[in-house]
Amino acid sequence: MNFKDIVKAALTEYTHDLERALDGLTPEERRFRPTDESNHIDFIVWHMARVEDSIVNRRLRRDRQIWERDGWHERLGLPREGIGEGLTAEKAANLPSFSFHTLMEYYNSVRSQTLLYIDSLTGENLNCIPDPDRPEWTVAAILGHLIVEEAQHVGQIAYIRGLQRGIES
Amino acid sequence: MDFRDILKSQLSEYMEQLELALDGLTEDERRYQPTPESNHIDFIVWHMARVEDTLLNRAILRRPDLWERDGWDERLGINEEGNGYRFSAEQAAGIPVFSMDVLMEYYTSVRTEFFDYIDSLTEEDLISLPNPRRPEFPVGETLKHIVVEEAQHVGQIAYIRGMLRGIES
Repeated sequence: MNFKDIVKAALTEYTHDLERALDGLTPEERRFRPTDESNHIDFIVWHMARVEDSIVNRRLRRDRQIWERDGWHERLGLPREGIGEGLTAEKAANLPSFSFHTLMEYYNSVRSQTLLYIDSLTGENLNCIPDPDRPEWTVAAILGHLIVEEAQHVGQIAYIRGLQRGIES
Repeated sequence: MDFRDILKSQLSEYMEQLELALDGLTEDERRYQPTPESNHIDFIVWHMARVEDTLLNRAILRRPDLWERDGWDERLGINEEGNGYRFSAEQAAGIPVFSMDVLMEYYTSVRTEFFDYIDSLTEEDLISLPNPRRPEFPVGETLKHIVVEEAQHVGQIAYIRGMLRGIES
């Protein structure tokens, strides 16, 4: 077990938790917002997939995102630009309705690329600085951050599920 | 930068976000439960500190946890056995009122031990098995799990804060 294995295992763990938190939810439950300023699950999952695509493919691989490369924005009927950062509560809530099944296909395709990328890394690569303007962000640090950010969102989704279905569901 | 630095930066990242999410909350806000089955912030933070302590000291180092060694149960007036895992909603909600300052002192002292431990690790240690009866939990697996679990809880606390105070607070 080395750093790469740990990163892959962390991605797997929170994805598994995400799947459990989503299991069997109706479209209405995925759009439920406990307050006018709270994000719904549809928004959070879309944002999670976009964050991973943007971090791995744009920021780390310095390449195009799968979102635009493979036309997922068109297939989902969602804007081409943006990953959902810094949006107002209203804008986040008003993300157009989309096929959740298609979103998860997109997420899986991002994940395949992420795993390929991690497998390709060597010990030296982990210390590379993809953006010279941000020398504190090595490849390893960016991967570490990805896990912490995404896991937080999974916790939110599980909490919103609990709000609707109780703790043992 | 190696796996130890990344692990510490992940722990620091979610601790910083926890502090942001707790900043300025009143005791009433920390006890807010949107539904009778939803955990309040007091419980979640206590659980987070206990998870780090028990996984580090009991699961990995196989020794009494700091909670017990330094009498934090008495200082906080909390007699609950365990770290909050599998508590019923009622049991979690009913955790005695405590001083958040003292709890954060406890959390900080757990963190100090944790960082010392991480500094002592070698890559080989990651595959060692602290408990031969739990072969599915080598050290690296438990460390990875701590990050994924705790970050989820921070996300929950931030979400509850947002329910109480809105998204930009």
